[in-house]
Amino acid sequence: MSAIAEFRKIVDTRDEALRGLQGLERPLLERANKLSDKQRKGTALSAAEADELATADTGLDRIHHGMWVIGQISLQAMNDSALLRDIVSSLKGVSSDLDKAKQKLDKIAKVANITAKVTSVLVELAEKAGKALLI
Amino acid sequence: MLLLFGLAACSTERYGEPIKGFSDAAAQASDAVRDMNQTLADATLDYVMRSATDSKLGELRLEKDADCGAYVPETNAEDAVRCRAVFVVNGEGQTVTIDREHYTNPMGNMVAVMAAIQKYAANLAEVQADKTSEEVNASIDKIQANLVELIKATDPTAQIPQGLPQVAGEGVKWAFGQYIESVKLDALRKATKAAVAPLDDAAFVFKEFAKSAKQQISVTVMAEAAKAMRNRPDNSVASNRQALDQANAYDDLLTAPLSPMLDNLVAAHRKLETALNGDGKVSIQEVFSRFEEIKAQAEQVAKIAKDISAALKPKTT
Repeated sequence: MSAIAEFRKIVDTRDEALRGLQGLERPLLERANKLSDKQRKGTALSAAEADELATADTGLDRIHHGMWVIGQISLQAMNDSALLRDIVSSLKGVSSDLDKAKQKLDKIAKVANITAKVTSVLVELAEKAGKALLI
Repeated sequence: MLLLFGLAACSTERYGEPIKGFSDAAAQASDAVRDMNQTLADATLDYVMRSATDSKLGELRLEKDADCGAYVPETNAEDAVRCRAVFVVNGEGQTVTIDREHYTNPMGNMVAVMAAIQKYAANLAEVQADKTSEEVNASIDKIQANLVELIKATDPTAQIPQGLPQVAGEGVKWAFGQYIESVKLDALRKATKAAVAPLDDAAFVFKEFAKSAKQQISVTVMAEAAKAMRNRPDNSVASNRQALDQANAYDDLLTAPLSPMLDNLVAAHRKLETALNGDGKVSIQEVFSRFEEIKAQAEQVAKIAKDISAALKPKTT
């Protein structure tokens, strides 16, 4: 399996699991919202309704905890995936090629600098010799 | 000569500002990702700490507790048992172990990808801004002066035509300059072309990391927002204000421009690559249009990360 396919599989598994839990979350959320709205508008909840609200809240906490566990498992798998290592390695390769170009440019500057130094030495020699030199 | 004239059309100067802009934007995006990584780390530790207090949800334990006695020096240091503390969290029939790396650097390898992008962008800028031409020109000036001196030293009566050395020197400088520019342009073209695929992959990967980071933080911190909105039976100003603050923080998190920031960076790079390697139809100015947006997005992400981290800190009352 290619690195990108492996990564996609992690993501697909995560999304499917989260969607499954979202399906359980929605009816509980709807019920909890309805009961708490009623309460906020000044109507006291019956004992059965209060119990139902508490159960819905506990259920939501449990579903959110499950979502966190799934998220954590997939996050760890994503962080450890080969795709990330491949991307870093490719970018390092490109950076290394740019370094080589910089070295090449440095070399050009050095050659010009050495040539300048050589001509300077030749001038010195010619002045010391005090006679014509063929170049 | 034809080659030199051919090279004369190629200059890296016009790419200076967009490449520098790309490099700066890459550094800003990289910082923002690092901030978000830290926030996710804080949120993870906060959540596992709370989970560990309920044995049905999780526990804090030593990784190899049966081997974790007092330390005895080993001949081979690698044989020593590491007694690392880990959190074991259960849920939905799954168990996940959270070690130190997971609650200090949860997106560590994504941060490494951003660092590699930043390094690549900085190298691109360095090649473009390279001053070899100026160094070579200075050397050529010296060579010219030395040659005149040399002629005079070897033949004091020699007549050097006025302006000739300068003219010759300018020609050499021009030829060297074109060669240097061709080396730089070639390097920039090849590098931007080679970086397109890994940058596209990085944008894809980061989109998924951003979703996971948001999802994990939303469960750890922001699920409280929905609860706060529900649990205000008294409908008081104080409980409404608390619910409002939490709902706004939740909304900020959900709309944090994490992946658009990297999408913009990759799109700017693609335009740069097209400008360098393409048919010249892409205006280099188009590359700039993304940079202000990236800067604003990076600042927004950094602010949200800071706000969430502050919200996670234990309240002292």
